Amino acid sequence: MSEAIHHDRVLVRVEGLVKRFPKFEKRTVTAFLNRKKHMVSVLNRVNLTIQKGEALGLIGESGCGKTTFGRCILRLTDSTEGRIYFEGRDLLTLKPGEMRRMRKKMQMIFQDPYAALNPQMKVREILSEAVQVGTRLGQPNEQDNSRACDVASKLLDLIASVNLQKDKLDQYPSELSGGERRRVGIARILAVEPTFIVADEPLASLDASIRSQILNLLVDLKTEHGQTFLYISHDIGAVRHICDRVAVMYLGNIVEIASRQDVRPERCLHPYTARLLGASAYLSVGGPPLEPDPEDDGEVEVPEEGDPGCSYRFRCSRFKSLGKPNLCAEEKPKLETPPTPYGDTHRVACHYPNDENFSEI
Amino acid sequence: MKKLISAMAEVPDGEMEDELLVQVEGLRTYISTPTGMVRAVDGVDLNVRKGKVLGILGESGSGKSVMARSILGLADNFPGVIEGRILFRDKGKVENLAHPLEETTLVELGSDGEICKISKDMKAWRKQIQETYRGIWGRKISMIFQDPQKSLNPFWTVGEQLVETVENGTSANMPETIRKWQDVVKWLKKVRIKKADDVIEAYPHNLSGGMCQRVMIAMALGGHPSLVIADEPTTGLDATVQAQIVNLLKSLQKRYGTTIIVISHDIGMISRLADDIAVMYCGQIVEHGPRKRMVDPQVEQKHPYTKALLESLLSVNCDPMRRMEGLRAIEKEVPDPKNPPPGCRFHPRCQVYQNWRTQEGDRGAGTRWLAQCPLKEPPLVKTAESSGIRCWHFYDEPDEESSHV
Repeated sequence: MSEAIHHDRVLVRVEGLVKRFPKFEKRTVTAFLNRKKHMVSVLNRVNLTIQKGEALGLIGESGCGKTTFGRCILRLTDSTEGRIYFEGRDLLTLKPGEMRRMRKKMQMIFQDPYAALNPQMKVREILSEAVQVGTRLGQPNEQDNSRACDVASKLLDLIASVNLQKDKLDQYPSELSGGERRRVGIARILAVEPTFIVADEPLASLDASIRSQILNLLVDLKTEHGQTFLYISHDIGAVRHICDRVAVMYLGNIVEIASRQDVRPERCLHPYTARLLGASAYLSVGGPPLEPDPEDDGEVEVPEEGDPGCSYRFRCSRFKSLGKPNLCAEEKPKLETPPTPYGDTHRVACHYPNDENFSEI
Repeated sequence: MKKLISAMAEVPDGEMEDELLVQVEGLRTYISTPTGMVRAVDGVDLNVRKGKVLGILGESGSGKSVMARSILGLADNFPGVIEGRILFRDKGKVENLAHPLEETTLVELGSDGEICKISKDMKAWRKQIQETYRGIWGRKISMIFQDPQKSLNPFWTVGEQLVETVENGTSANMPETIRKWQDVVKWLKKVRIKKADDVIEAYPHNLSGGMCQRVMIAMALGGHPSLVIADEPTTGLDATVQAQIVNLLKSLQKRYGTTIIVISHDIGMISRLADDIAVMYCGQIVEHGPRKRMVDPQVEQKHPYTKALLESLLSVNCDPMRRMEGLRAIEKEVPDPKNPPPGCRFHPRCQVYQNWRTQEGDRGAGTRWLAQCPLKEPPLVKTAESSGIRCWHFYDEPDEESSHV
């Protein structure tokens, strides 16, 4: 999928990733036996490349599959089909032991800072566990006795790198505020020195004044340590702040990928991206007004399984304004570069993309 | 020393009191916890103009939700509301909704003026609250709660729940049940639910978060109340749905002239909806003023907290310069509401104070009172443009201590 991208710099390459979940409508024996027939596709052949040192943002509404995608990459959820290459190796063919060693290189910042830490362990225990696991997996032959003081000094480094006080080490997670918990979560990830971090809504459930502290911390990690990020969020402002490229997801399909500069209401090409950006701009201070569409009540209409057309056409205002063209209902648009002056890094999956300045909701 | 908190409903004089729907004066709501007394609301004065939208902005734990619940008489954990008046104006009559305090609450003050003991007959207070609010809940004041899916009854269909509030408004010669159900459908259509006939039969778990929120809005507005309190009405919803809910609230507010108090931590949403904005920090209102002034980053005379909040904001059209510099974050954490810092509650995180302290030789304009920051609580001072700022930086009337708003 990537002519312009240097192959030696690619860290993660996802090819045709599919994830289906069984759909239980009735809890009966027949429904259970037929579970393979009743599946919901959460990810539909997703292709994506993440380069070393890059932060890729993934935005979309809740339920579009962004978290599932992040979990599939780390193999926390098993994928149904497809390939995930990490540093050139296909993760889906690795044995459990190999995968465990690989996990040291890829870590996740979980969505809920309150649920991600064990309430019965002190911060010191939480972090030293991660440090010990990290060193054991990294250097299997290291001597035991030299390790104890290493761990202690490393803990201090870690806690300093996320701007936490030393005395927080002997507290329980319940004694920490949301922002501090988030920092402990990030410190735990840094303990194993990963090369790739999946950040799943790292700013959710944090206060406005704490958000910017955490965001600055993540930006520091990226610029100073060259961390590679997959940043999953629906907060477009934060995504545009930290990410180099942004992918937009709708119902398990990537509908647009563009550089950060192109994710703007006047430069985006897919009607769904325009809609997302319009809504966020409306809800920011001094944003433009928004004309409500009386036809639209914000409900996602999921097309039937096996529907050949574009899955966004039920909500698409462009589909309506163009007189419901047959092409949209018959053929699924491919993610490709449209003939625009924005360069070949901007790709969109739409039969009738917009290449002019427009704003619609 | 014992002191009975008096709460008589006398009409305060002001130049535009007819325009005010609700006046909150000196409201204190505390919550007793095993580890100490949380001063959730600590001396709040607030004026709500009739037919306008007041936005209350604050971080979690700043006491904004507790304040709203106090106005509704729902803060019923011991000791709850212990002081203050809530004046509610309805058809020319002024009623003090907090009058049960008078008979049930006894606050003992120590020699230094600090509250040392609170005794309150909760049973009698709850009974009196029930009587005071009987005709008010749902009819005059209603509330849109934080989590729509949890606030609806999971055992009842949407229609059954809506019928309770939506009862008046259609022609009288139809059988009553049909008339009520028609009303429900009408209201569901007003909140822009397309398949109203299907939704009426649905249970809350069948509906998405956005749909549930629309049902909640219909329920809150169904009794034609004069005041609606919306507590975080868009939290947990997607950006596109948030925009629609805000639009809906705005258009319904215009159509019915309802007064709305919107509570949120989302400054963007508040700036879109509200006419006036009050900023809360640690149980106090630190700034109160018209929207235009509050959200305009160009206005210099602004509380340091409001300013810092605006600066830490990310916009969709973020400019590359700010990306290079990094975000200006507010340092340190939100203080513990059980023991807030002495003096001004924001001073440990305040840039103005920290700058002044590090370069004490530089005594520019407005620094005259900054030495007071860690010592004495600043009063809410009325200025020419805003309704009030609680900051020593903008305090310049040394002789008129009594000119607090």
